Amino acid sequence: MQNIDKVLIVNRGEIAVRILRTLKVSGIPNVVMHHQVDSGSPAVLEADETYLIDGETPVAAYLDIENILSACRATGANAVHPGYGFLAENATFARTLEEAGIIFIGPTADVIELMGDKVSARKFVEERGFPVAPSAIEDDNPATFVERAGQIGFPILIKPSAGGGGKGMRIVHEGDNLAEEVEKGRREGERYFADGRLFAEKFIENPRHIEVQVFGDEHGNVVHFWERECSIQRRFQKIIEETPSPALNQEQRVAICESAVGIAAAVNYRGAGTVEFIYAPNGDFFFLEMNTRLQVEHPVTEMVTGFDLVHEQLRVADGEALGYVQADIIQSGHAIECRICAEDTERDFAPAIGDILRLKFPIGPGIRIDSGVVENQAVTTAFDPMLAKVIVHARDRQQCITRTRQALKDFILLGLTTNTAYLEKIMAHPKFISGDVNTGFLAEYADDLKLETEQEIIDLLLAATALTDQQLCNSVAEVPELYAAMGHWRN
Amino acid sequence: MKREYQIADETHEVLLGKKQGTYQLTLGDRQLEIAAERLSNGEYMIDLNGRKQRASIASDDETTFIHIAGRAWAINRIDPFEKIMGGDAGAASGSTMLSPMPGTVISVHCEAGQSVSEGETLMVIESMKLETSINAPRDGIVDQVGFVAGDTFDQKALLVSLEIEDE
Repeated sequence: MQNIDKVLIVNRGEIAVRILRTLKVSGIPNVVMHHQVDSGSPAVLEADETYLIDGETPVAAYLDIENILSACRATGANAVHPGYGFLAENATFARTLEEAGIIFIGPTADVIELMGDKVSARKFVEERGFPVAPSAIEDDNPATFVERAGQIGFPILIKPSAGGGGKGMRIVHEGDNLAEEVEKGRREGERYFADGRLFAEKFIENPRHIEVQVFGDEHGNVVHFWERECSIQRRFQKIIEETPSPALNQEQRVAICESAVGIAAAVNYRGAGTVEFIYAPNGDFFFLEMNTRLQVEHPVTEMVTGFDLVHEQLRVADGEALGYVQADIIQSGHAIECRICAEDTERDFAPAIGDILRLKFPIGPGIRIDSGVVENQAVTTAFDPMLAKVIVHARDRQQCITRTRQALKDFILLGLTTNTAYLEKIMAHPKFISGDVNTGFLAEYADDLKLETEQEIIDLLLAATALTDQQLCNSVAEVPELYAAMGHWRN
Repeated sequence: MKREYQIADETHEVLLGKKQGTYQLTLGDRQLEIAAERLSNGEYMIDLNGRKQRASIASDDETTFIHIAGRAWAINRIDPFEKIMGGDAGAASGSTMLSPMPGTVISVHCEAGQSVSEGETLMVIESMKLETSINAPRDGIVDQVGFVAGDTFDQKALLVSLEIEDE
């Protein structure tokens, strides 16, 4: 690298490991900054150098810009990779680094500012002739916002202007409770983003979520790395992503990807970004938002294109030109990502906590695991419940589904509840297999996706529990054979 | 020896015995011949009536976690002593609202001693990025309010409890 000497990773979990791996294979010195609670996490265990930070809460420690400046000064890191979440889309952060002479591995602060605000972003996109859904923006005239929102035509979606990741979003089906829902949305916006401004837009029924990976450099080149479909969502958060989208024919695929490139080019985009669209059943698509960072689901794009997107981010941040053109980026085969989360899908996705007593990853052709956890690590509610991602590549979608289902079955994590069985059940659903999905899929088929346990399995579980219940085995009259047989195995 | 094991909220009573060197598990009126072969750290072959299946097993103080047939289960081992001593101390005529998951209290709309009617909002909480109203399930008098606005709570924490008036 010409300009980057050493990179500070200002994130945690699986994405910190992901970035670290590329830094290592690219021969770039690295530092992982971390809070005490993450001391035993894989990124901290694998980093060349680590830097301990503190804060009122663990999350606050990662959000403190001063911590990051101190880490750069102390370690000599002159570039920062933000990952996703935390400060990744914070324009003030990007600007502070720029002013301190530190390379921010991402777009310019001005672009983050423009695209980070949903309202300004959609205005910008609409003015340049790209499709957006009918909407009402509170800022245009706060006094008439509720009235204008009501005129869009129900159902409508209310969102905080400063929002992201589904936080504070509400679907309103009728006018009667509109005012009340607006107030709730405003409170959530204030709490999460310290910004209560809202906007409302037409809620497209049975929409798909299709997004496009874009990449730009400082020399005016912009390309796309094709689309990802992320329609399988719970609480507006993606849990399964795939590419190519089964919804698109080649003509539609090129149209949506070219729109995304047009939007990225219009803002002189630098680095990795994602343009998200709502895709209606009739084939219409509307700009939803742009994420000015690496996405959680970027690995599916890497699997089908063969590019290491983190490496591309580093090259662009270092000032290099892309060095390839659109025709060089080819989708090969099919890839699916499943997000393994610490949650109880049978209890409304309640977060689960506990110590990871055993962790064993699936292996096999086309399987990649991006994990942020290791055995013996404690999982708490301090952070997001996502623990790891199972990413699978195959020649076609059908084979990819088969492989992914088996990978989920072979993903062993004991000590707390996760969603792996639920993910496998989704992939086994006939509607998923036929590609007939939309963002309401999980709610619509909730009954089909309930986990049940057959009597034979219950018998096995009771047998296994009894035979490993030492207290119980010891109490049985005869000397238990198992216990005797196990003798030489015990520590 | 009897034990109670809980799988997905359902309690199963098991009786473990041994006959001619073989473990016998009694479930209601069924008798199963069972055995376990330990392969390596945490991995077993569980033999149920002659059919062997691979399982990964790990336990903590209360729970046995088992991965078998492509899926993991948590089996709660109900402590036989604790059960005799205390058990569920829920008030006979009360109504207790426990948090379904960890979260934060947004606002409190009742105080102890206050009469409330069915459907009335007692508390607004936020969990998993969503606001939820805790409403009175029936008419009653507020007995306890577990938290004030801004507090955070864990799963199964007492949010509000009601004394239900006699009908």
